[in-house]
Amino acid sequence: MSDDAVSNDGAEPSAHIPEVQPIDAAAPLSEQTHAAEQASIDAAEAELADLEAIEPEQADLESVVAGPAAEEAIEVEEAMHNVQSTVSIPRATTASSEGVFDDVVAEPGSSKPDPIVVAEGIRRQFGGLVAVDVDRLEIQRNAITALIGPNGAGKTTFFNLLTGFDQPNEGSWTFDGTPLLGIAPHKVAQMGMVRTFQLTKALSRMTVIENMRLGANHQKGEKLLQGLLQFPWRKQEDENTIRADELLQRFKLDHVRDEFAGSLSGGQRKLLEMARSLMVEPRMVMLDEPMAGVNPALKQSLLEHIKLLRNEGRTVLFVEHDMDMVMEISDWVVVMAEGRIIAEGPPETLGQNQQVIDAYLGTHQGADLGEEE
Amino acid sequence: MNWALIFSNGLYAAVSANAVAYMLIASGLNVHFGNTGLLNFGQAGFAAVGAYGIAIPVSQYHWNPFAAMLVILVGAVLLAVGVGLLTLRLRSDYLAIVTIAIAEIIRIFVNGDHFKWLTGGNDGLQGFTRWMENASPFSTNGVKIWAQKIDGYRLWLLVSGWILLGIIATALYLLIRSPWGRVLKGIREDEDAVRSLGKNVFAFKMQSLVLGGVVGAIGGMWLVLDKQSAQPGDFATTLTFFAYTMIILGGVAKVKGPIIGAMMFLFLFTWVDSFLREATKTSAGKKPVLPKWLITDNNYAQVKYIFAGVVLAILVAFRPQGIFGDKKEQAFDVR
Repeated sequence: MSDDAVSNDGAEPSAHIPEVQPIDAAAPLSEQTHAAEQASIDAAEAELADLEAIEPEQADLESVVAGPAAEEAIEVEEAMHNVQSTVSIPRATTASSEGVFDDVVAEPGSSKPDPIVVAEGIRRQFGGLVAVDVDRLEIQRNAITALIGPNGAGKTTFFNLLTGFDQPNEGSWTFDGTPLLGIAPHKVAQMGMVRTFQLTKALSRMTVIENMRLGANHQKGEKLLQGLLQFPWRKQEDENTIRADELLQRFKLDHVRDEFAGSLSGGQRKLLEMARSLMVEPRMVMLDEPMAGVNPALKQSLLEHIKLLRNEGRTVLFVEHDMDMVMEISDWVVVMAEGRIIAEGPPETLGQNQQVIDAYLGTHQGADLGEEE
Repeated sequence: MNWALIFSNGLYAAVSANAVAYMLIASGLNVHFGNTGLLNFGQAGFAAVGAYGIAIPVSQYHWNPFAAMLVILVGAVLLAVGVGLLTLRLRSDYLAIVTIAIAEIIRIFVNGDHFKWLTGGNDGLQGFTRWMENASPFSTNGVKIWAQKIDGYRLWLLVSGWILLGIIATALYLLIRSPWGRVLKGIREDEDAVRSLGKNVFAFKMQSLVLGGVVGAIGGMWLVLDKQSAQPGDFATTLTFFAYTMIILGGVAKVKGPIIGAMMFLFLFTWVDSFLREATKTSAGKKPVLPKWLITDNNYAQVKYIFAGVVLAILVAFRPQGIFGDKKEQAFDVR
């Protein structure tokens, strides 16, 4: 299917990413983005043509699976196609997590060799609705774990709970051995667990570089009295600026350094949010739908950036609806539905998991899907 | 028509000690609203703390004025902390409601008969400026600049007020440009994002509230030093909204914004007032410049508000970012 073409024409699949900038590092930036945009338009057109060809069937499917589930149904379907085709395509990078998951049982709550997050019995109720009810979850250090599930599965709520933005009714969890129950979100971030948001939170009326500088941790100048004087924080500010500029370069945002963040495109804001979160120097990065609203060309570079996070030794947990992305970069996938974790496993195996298919397609799963296959 | 008087009145109003007081009150509010995004509708309450913090101890108990200033400082900090504890965990609209209520409580308290022995009630308090008058290096006759007479005490308040304002504005400028000020701006844009970057949003908001409140209280003190009388009516919500108008006129989130804004506002207000007073004057058989069926010398005082309001509305409509506001910084309001 055309998705394969889209996801693979941006960057050559390779086991290692030696350079910080994976795509055409030599080409001037504007030209490069232009070329990338063009490529994405081409790809999108090709995809459109492809889609039109299978339109009748999909329209059929949509009419059967009414409502928001429809889109996801198609995604799963595409994803399962991918699973079949990935066999022939070399998976890009499992460099640092190769073999780690070999001995891990693919079942909900399975223990990992070296977990950075261990969550136990986390439950969050909104009135009568149990939004999250996770018995046990371990997240492997220095790996990319995907958290997927249909809308309303409780993924974002679970994110909020882990990062302290929301408090559970019961349960406990540790981050690198430290219990996090009742810890304020800013303290969680200072400990090295940094999140991004589903709806990007670029600080619009601040420049890109100011967004970045804000991210740096333990700034002396953030104390009221020291801020008033200049000398206590000047040096630190310069160091932070150097680090910020390096990150901007890596995320190809250096040409918008002094623009207001509000003038960036949706995809650039996602990049900025990710770059900004790295200013905190996190051990674990939690991305809430990093691909939402990002064009295909930029998606490829985002994927590379996420892989790079792991290759730098960080742990990544992300929520995503884009199955291509999940299949391509995750080392381990956790599936949530109705607040519970219903399956865990390497990405390749999930297409065959009956529970996952049920969760995504509900009771409407049936003849149409069978015919497709 | 005495045009010299009309214009000199307007110009003097823009730089007088009274103007300095407004500039301080608006500068404090700008820290809350412009820099941190805190919708404080109770700045008049902080100003009242400054006013009565000097008036009550000095006038009623003959304290040393510097001890009274300590009372102002402590009072403003306590008020800010109290307001903060009540509201900072809530959404910004609740802050607006609670602050407006607290400011009214303060005003009604000082206006009330029950505590008249302390606050002077409706009559206000006088006689707390002797020490300032004694400190004046200028002759009490004062000066006359163009058509404007300025007495020695007011001139002294003007000069010392601008020095005080210069110090406070410089400190604010340095603070807003420091990493501390950057966190405030971040909170203004999106506090959850700032929280996710490891900043204690509550603590920063509290510091902002305290800083702006203290500056506002100093402004309140200057206001009553200039009037030589502390009146409850001066600390109604109108004061807060005047301060908002000044900030928006001059440019939100800029340190010079409230200063320039206050100058423009007060010039305009006083110019209209002086103009109408001159234009409705009946003297020695001559007809007033404006016809009596339209406006008379005993109702122009209300009309000046209408005039000033219309002009301000036009200014704000055609230059929403204010005189010194950054158009870009105002344009991308995605909320």
